[in-house]
Amino acid sequence: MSGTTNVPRDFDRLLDAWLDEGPNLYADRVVGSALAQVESVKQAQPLWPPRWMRREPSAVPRAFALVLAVTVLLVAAIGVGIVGGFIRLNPQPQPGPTTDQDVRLPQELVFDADGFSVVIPNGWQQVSTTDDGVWRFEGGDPPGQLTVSFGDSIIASGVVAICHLGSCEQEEIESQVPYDETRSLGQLQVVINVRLDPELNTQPGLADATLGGLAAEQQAEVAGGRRHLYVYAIHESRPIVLYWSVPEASFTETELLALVDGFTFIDPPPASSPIPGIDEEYVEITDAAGGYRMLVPYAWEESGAQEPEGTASVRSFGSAVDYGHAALTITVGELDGSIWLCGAGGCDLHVVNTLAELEEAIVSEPTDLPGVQVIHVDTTLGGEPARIERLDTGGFIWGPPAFYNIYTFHDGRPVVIQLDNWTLTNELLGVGARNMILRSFTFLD
Amino acid sequence: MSGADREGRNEALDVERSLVVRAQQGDREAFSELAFLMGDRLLTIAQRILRDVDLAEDAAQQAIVSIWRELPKLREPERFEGWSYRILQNACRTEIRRERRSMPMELHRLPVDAASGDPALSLADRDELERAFRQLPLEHRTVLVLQHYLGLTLEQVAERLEIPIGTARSRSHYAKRSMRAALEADARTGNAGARSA
Repeated sequence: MSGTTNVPRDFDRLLDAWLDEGPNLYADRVVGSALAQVESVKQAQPLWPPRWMRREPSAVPRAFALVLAVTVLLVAAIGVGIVGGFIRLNPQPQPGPTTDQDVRLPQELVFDADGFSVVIPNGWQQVSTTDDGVWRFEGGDPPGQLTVSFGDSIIASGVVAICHLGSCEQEEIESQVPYDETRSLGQLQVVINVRLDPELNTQPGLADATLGGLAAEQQAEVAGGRRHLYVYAIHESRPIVLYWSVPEASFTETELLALVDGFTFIDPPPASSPIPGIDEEYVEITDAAGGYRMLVPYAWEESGAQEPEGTASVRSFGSAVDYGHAALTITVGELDGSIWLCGAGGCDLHVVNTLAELEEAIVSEPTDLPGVQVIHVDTTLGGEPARIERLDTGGFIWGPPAFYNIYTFHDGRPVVIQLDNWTLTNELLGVGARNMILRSFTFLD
Repeated sequence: MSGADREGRNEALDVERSLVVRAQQGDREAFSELAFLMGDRLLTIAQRILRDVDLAEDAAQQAIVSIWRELPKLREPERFEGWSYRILQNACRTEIRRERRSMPMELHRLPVDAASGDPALSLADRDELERAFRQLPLEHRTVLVLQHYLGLTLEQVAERLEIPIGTARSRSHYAKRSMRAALEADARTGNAGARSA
């Protein structure tokens, strides 16, 4: 009955009550997941000596120290100026007012091999060749700067240089599996926001933008008489950041538009994918010795595990979060039923001839926690009848480790796939990835 | 606030500050402690801002990771609390964008325990408040949550978010005006409906 709405009664009290009504939330699981993620995240470098490294203020009064510093700088500057001939003791007349010829017209620079073209004001030039993923341009009087940072794929290292005034710093945009571009863009936004204003005292002007046809964001602020502008996007999982810094007095919307609108990605002609039709977040592996083929998350690199005797093939991928074992291990035994099976406690050689014996040999972890039940489920793997052994932990992911085993026999050989649920959860892979991995499993014959 | 409360709060701040300084130096154990200390608070604020538990969990998780990464750049550890809210606000923005890109925002009213829900709030109030709140810009939502959920004064909100007091006032004013207008419109519609029935 909407007619009972009490407006305009004490609205503040209404708001208090309404906001108070939400659920009480406990963040243990969220914090656990975040901390697992943090394990693989490097901290940024401080932009200044942190407090614990800073000296205590000296006894010299600040004003005196300031005057002294300015005097020293002035003397040094005059010295350098005289020696270097930069400062004219008899100033020459200044250039006259701007003429038509000085009007800065944009020019396009094409970097075919690097995958982009950029429009810079006329008279500007590239000031350095890049070996750090940064293309630097300068021009104008007083000088303006433009840097184009094209980072490494987020699925690989995600390293991208974030520049501000003269210095560029390497930052890492963490990989997300499954890859989530919006979240990567959000992370880039935070990194740039902090770069512009480490204390986040101000919220630099944030707006949606378009860069080379991609949805992008821009942040801008005016500080120290200069306008700083970042436009950034994710292109083919690579972060790209344009940073433009010009004296506020010489800032023009025309140049800005020319810069942003003129930026183009130059994509190489499409090559045929080695795995047609397959999501690029996964790579296909084929194991001739084990006689199977399957998809593995791209981010999970293969570890160089040694094959023990008594097993035809062992392949391990990824590193389980917080633990020494792999995130995914595929083990194929011999025709006589021998197979090495590894758990958190080590590896043992078993000889098994039936699915029931194989099931008996598999030890899921962790088994010693209260309320944990071992669950068995029938399934198929690569067309063969198979079983799943997993732990019911009452909805809570214990770990690490938290194994999820799928096992079968094929042509008389035992086959075991062991996935670490803890890692799946903490790398935000979840059920979708597990299904993708298992569904893709095929025996070669 | 009593003297004992104040003392307790100061002690908690000292602990937090010491953890922040250690975490800034790369001490993961200290950061873990800090994360558990602030986790509930970040999650609850995110939920109030986003009005969705799943999105709030994602935002809080991303915020904690960002806080770890960017912490060495925080110059004044005593400003950590407000700084962490601003990181959280950024994470909430990202979640809103993700949600908008993946699917149109739907109105999910949060479950309210009938016994604990405020009897002064009618169902229509809740719907309209929910709808109007979701129309607000993120920055306005944040101010309202800090002011009306955490119970901070506008001066404290301004201090935490490091925005001018005038900005905090105008955001609060604008946000409440929009929400009140939505409620009033609903009341008019309801009354008109009642008259015509």
